[in-house]
Amino acid sequence: MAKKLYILGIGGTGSRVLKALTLLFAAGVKLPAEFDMVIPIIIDPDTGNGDLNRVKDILRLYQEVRNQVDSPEDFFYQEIKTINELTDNSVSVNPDYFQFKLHDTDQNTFGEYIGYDTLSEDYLGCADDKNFVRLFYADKNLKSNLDVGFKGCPNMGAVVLNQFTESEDFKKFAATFNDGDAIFIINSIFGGTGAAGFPLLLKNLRDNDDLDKAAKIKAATIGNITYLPYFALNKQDEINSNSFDEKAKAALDYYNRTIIKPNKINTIYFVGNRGNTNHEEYSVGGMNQKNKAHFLELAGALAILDFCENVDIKSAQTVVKEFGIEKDTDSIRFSDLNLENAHQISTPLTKYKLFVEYLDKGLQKGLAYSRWTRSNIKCVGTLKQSVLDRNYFQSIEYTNQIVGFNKYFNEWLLEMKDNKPSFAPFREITSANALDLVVEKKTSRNRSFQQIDTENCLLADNQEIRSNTKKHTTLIKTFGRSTGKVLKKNNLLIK
Amino acid sequence: MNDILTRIYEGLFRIYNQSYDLIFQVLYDNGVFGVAFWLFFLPPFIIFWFYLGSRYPYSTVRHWVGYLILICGITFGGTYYLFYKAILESSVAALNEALIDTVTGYMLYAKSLPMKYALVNSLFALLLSLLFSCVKPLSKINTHIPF
Repeated sequence: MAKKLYILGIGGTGSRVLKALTLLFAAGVKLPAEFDMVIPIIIDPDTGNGDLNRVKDILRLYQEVRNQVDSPEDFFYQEIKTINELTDNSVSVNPDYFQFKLHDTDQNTFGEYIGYDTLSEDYLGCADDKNFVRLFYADKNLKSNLDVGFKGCPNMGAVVLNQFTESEDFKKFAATFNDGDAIFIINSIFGGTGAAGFPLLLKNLRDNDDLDKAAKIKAATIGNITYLPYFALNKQDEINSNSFDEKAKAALDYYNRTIIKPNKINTIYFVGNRGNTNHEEYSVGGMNQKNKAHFLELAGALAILDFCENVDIKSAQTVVKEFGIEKDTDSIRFSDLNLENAHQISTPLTKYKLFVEYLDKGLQKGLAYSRWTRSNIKCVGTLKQSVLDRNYFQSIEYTNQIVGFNKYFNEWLLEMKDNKPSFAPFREITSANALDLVVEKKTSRNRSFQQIDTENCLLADNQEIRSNTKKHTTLIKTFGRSTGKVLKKNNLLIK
Repeated sequence: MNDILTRIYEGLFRIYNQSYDLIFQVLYDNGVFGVAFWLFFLPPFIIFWFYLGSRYPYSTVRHWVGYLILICGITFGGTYYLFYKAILESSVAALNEALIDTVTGYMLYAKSLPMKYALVNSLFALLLSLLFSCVKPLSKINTHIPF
């Protein structure tokens, strides 16, 4: 039975895990247990957030590329849709629908949002008393602009995010929910938006009887990944990363009492990192908040795969899981992961990385000489002509969608490499030593892109991987096959 | 077979010269034309390697021309050597005597024959290679060569 997985990413961390998962999907990672569709939902009041906009752009490009691939078999296999596409049967790609809207957060301060200014100072004669509110919120909270999020203050987030469950978006989400569908929530515990949003969201999913299909949602399998502190900030100001640990402890205690012990959730994953931690550029939010991708966000994506793998194993009690790697190292490679994780991601990531590198560094030669890029061959029929000719590689669709998406993929890997701990499974390569890509592997054969071009030539007239209507079909399927063959033939995959 | 080949090799390009019949008789008796046939017929099969066997994806017209030169070169060298050995290093006493005799002009004519046959055979090999190149639609890698 076809099933949907709703992934609700709350706050900046939620967005970044969704990014990691989307890039894994592009590389050909598939959700297990018959989940054929993923519905990412971002919940973040910080609409101008750099991370948020980056992930929305990645999701948009993913959809645009995938929409141009007929029956994907490897790269871009997993279908990703917005709630809007489900309810309105819309086919147009609009990344704004990946984000649930929060009203009145664009211009308002928190004080304005809760109507603080309309309250009375007269604590004796008035029922609505400003002084009472001051018990919970400092002046800086009340004056804080909501369009950059909650600046690490879950007490603000808990109030503002409460409106979310009454929004049109949430109602649409409920309306599309079916038997067998599952929900996964991503949040951090040390910030503002995620720490506040998760318990609130869960409460509404489990206990809100007003929702369409409330019974199905109540009984649904729900998983969560909660991020413990895994980075610090290079400056301590309104957001103070020195308080991350304390805030995490307090929130954990709350989660334990209200979520884990009462078994409100099926599986909860904890991921965090102490010690060798990266210091991110300080930013309270907005465009400037563009944290570097971190290996732990990839680990979060792996948690989602684990959740789907075990979705049918029902337990009366909440299952708590932690993420770990086999070897404690500053520079993580595929072989440092546990076998299952290495098996899940090493082949797809290596294949996709080779694809990206080829288009970047090998395509020029291919276009100059290789048969698989020729569409004007004399004395052969139309079926033998390649559809991946110079015109295709100069098309707007290729330039904007494929090149644009691959830029994000490379940027993601590069950021993970530069972070602490570093995730660096790939070497820097040139066109002459392309097959030296995987750090732990070497080939004794020709190391250039030549083998890729050969395999592409062998596939050039294969009608199975062509489509008259979907422009990227041949490119995506050709490289899905050729990169796999070359890497396997040269024994470059981590097993 | 030998008769047909002899007729072809002697008749084509008017190489045969009745004044030096002894040379052609020796070539006929020793079946040299049969060997010469294989020397032009077999090398063009190398072109099949170019189209159907080679996995090098960056071939250009230059590579193809290179294959043709190689084929013609093999044929030329082989044929020249074959005829040189058969005529100028022959074990037939009558021919050797004729070659020594400076009055008949046998030696001069005999020396020109290996080159003539080598050129003819190379031409055959080239034509056959071009014919075999029609296999290009079946190629996976070099379908686009030479055009």
